[in-house]
Amino acid sequence: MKMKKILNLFVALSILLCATVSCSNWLAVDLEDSILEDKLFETNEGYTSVLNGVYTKMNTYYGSTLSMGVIDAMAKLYHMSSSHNYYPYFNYDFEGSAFEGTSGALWTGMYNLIANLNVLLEKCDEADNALFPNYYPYIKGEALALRAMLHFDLFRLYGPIYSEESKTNLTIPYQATTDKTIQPLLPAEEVMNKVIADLKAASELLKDDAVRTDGVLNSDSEDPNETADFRYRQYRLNYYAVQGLLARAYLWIGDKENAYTTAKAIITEVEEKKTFDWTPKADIQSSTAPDLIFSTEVMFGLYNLKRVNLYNGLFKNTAGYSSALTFYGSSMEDGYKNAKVTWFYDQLDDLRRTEMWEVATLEENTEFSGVKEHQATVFGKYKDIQTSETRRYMIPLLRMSEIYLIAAECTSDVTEGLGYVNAIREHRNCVNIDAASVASKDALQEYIDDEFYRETIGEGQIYFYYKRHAMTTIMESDFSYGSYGAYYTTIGMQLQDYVWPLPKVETDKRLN
Amino acid sequence: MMNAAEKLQFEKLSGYYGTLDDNGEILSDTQRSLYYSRMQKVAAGLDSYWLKEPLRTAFTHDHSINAEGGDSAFRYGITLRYKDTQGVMKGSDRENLDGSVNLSYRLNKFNFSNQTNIYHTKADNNTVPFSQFANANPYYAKRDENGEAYKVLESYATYTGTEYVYNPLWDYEQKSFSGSNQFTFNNNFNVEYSPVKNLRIVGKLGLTVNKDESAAFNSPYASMFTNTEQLKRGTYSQTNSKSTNLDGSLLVSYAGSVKKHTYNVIGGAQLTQNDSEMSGYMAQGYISDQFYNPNFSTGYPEGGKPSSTVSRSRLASFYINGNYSYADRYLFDINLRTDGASVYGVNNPFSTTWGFGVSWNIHNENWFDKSGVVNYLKIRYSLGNPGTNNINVKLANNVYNYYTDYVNMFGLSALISQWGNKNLEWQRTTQQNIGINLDMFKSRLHITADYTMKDTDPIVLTIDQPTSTGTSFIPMNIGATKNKSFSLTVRYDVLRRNDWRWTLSANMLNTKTKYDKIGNLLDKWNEEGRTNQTLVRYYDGASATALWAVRSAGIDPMTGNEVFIRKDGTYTYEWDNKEEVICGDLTPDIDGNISSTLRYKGWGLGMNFRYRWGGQIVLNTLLSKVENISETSLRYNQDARALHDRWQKPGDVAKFKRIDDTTPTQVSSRFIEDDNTFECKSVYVSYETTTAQWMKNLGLSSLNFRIYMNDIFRISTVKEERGLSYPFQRSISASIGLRF
Repeated sequence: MKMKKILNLFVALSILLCATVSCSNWLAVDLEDSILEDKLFETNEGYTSVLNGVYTKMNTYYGSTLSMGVIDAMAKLYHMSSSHNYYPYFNYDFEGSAFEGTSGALWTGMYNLIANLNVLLEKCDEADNALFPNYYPYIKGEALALRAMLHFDLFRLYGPIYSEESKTNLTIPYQATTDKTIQPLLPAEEVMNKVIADLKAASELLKDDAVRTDGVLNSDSEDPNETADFRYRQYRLNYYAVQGLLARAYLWIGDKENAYTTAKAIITEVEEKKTFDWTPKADIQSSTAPDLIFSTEVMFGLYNLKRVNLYNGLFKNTAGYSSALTFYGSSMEDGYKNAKVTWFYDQLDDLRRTEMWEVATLEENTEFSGVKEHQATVFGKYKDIQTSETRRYMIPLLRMSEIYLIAAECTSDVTEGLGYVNAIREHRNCVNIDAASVASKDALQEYIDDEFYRETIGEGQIYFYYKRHAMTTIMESDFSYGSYGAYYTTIGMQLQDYVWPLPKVETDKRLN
Repeated sequence: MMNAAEKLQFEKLSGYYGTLDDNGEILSDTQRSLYYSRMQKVAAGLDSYWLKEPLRTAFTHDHSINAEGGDSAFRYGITLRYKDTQGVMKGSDRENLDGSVNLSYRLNKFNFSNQTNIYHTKADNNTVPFSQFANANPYYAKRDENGEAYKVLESYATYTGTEYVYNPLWDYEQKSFSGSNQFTFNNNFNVEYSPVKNLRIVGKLGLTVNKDESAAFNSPYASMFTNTEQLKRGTYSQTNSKSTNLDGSLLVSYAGSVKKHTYNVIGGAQLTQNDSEMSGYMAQGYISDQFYNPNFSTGYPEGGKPSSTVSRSRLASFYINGNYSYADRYLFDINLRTDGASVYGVNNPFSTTWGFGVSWNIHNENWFDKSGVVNYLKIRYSLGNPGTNNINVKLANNVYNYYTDYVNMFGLSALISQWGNKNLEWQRTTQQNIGINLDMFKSRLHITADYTMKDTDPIVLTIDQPTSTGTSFIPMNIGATKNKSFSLTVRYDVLRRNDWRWTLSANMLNTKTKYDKIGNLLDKWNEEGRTNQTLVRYYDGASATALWAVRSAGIDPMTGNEVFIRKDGTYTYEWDNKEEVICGDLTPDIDGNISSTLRYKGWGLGMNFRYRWGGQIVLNTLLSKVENISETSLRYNQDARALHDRWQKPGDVAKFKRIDDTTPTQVSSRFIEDDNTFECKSVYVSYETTTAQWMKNLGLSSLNFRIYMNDIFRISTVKEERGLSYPFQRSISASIGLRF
């Protein structure tokens, strides 16, 4: 009997085997650990998750490298001994392994994100795709804007100081295809044309961005049916952010006319709608959650739950003398000339001075002579705060004050320009600059420079600012008596130190 | 490895203590005193030999017992086996307990059989790698006067904090462990049915379940936790995996003969499914090492989470084979097979292969005189495409992974983890083989020769890319490869008389793989002026296993730096990968084995040799042990050649670069050498008897024993390179088998 059962089982099995004509179906097994491109883009969520992937991964490159770390060290903002971790960057040691490693990882990572964006862009325009029509302008618009922004930042690093002579120099490739063929290094002018074209196309797609009607929407919707996809616009390349990048790009190539028009249009619109309103003094001085990044004025920033780790590793005194980025100076007293804060800010009551800096002790481990202590002025812009608001995790990449300063630099009207500078100063608790002291465009420019540094320190823009102006002297990082009792407050810069050489991961694999 | 005095001298010369003055004295005061404090102990006779600490002579037992029985309809067999393998490092053991039961039952036209196997393996791994003992400096004392191992051998301050040199013995004596328990159950059920003569239907159903539990505990007292907060010291991690394999197949065969025609047809199908699951977690924070139970830990590591992977794959294949022979003279066979697998994706999971063969048994021809010198002669030819494979779906598609490092309010993040190439075509292989089998002198001499040509077109290569393309490599179809190989086997019975039998056999293989059909593609890329640098290596006629490196003119006796030769013949100190040329080939001209077997009555003596001629090898160990010694690795013990064979002062004609140069060395032709080797792989002596009278008294039906030894000697143009993660072992094994 038992044999018969086994026999029946066997026959059944045989039939099963034979009946597997639809074997292909049986073989269709989804991957569990990863997901294939075609499968991912079968749903609308696939599109949003790829876009979000790029935004989240940007934290890797914009955190300690392009925002608050390496790039600001290269602007010589901070005091640095030769044993400091960032000294190779501070000292422009382009040949060294530390720099080569950082540069290679950044280059590879940024182009990897661009390649991800190119796949997404191709999928956006595929026939019969799963992308919802109301998502299309956001997804495609932001993807184009991101592609432009990533290329633009690579160009600001590896490209030349832009000028009539240098604009034909071969610089970097502009990746706009999913094809994996090696793209040529393009002349500077061509790269910037592509950046601007992508930003314009993105603006066009994002012209009905919710940010223009409803503001930044920095909280979850009260309507449970609404997702976060079109909210939290400060953490997305929204319409204004794209326009802001466009103004930045125009100015980079010296097109002041377009830079002014673009900046002016943003200022007029956001002032009227109060989209990126000034951060109130009370919020900046809050005892529990001081808003030191002036979060309401940020047009675009990253959301980084691990921001506190960056702060602890880069700015907190416990990071140690060889890791912390600090200003030179053991006192913040009025007129103390051996401190950088004294030279960096013109007023004692400047909120950016009083709230962001304090004197602290740092330890240094020295080989064979034990632990040494140093006094320095430490930077608290990114200190962790206790708040449920998203600003706790924000890393600003573009802010309104830059737009004001672009307008100020590009306008031909000195009075109008000074108005923009004073608008910023007013909200930082500084007295207005007297129009009488600003006789010329050049005099105004010095005020613009100073205000730009005070606004964007810790945000990775100052090195590029120096580069754009081809500055040969910049503010010193150490302050000490000169041999004739004078203070050295400036230091010379070599123009070649503004141009990063292409990394080996690129040059070793291509012939041109 | 260096001894204490050598190591100190090496440290001094390599610049570990900073620059030296004209008299060869260390300039820095602190460094000089450190050097002399070490020197003092060495002068007093301290020279620790660390390597012997973790080693032992290991014994392995292997016992098995086997019982069989039954009648013509029902048969059974039971096997039990126990094996305990000791590793040459203390604390590394492997214990196996296996059992199997075979049952078979014949009923009319049916034949059922079932085989059940159970395997259990318990493995313990050493917790401190051998390399840590090899790295320990000989000028450190191992233990204090009470015989307790020191935890810290030396401490000194550096720019980044105080650094400690830990004692590997200390970690060795902690209660850390790492081990696994593996359990495998395997059952195969087989039904054979022959309804009519010549027709046979076979069905098989197999199930294999494999469970593996591995756990590792790092004691909170282990040196790795010295700089960790008190409450985070000690970790316990556990990984559990389970895999299930289901396998069903059906085979139908029909064989028959009509007069001089013999034929045989087999058709079949097979379905396989593999499921595997893995999960694991880690706990940290132990106050004491008395308990490793995770319940005693303080929690998960910060940001830690359980890990898990699940995967499933399926395979299906169908095949049909046919043979036909005429009077055992002309033989033909043909086969067709299609294999499908889930890893090949949804669109086209199947790939088909075929083969065709013909052979001629000349010795069966009527006109052939079998009693002549040649008594067996067969000529064969076959054609097929055996290596035609589908492309893994992951190579042809971009594969996304979910990115969870920076979570935000916008939901899932997905990024491409592996870049595919949609235009990738399958590799197609055509293989042709011509062969001959020849027996001479009444089968005393046996010769088999084969010539095989294998063309793969196109091939799939992973090509390096400049990373502005988004990735550093991409799979591509580039040209084709042509493989030609010739193999020969000769066996000769030197002695064949009475109870003596001595057989010598040797074989050789010559194989060459060359690129083909690459020309046009590269020309196109070159025209566009942006060819990938590494593609230069692919051109028609280039060997697929060529070794590329920058040519070296050796070490400059004046400066101790390496002098490289550019492609145009000029000299330079700069290494540049653009100057790489072919400096050798990994594939030898010929390689093979030679063996000798001597038998007399129940005695046997066997020897196996291996040889290799005409190939080159990259001396990676030399590169990493003698030259690539970074500043940090100066602290550890090094290969003695790093002291004796490196350049020290102007005028030295040295094989290796400046002793105080701690920059990385790139591969140059200096590290590529001819590898011509002749080695004796094994020797055995055995004895077997079924007839001795004393055995019958004991009730034994047979007895055999065997002594076996491996790696006896080696003659070579290069010194054998061995790694340091586990010691090299030479073993002797003996076995006895009894049958009742």
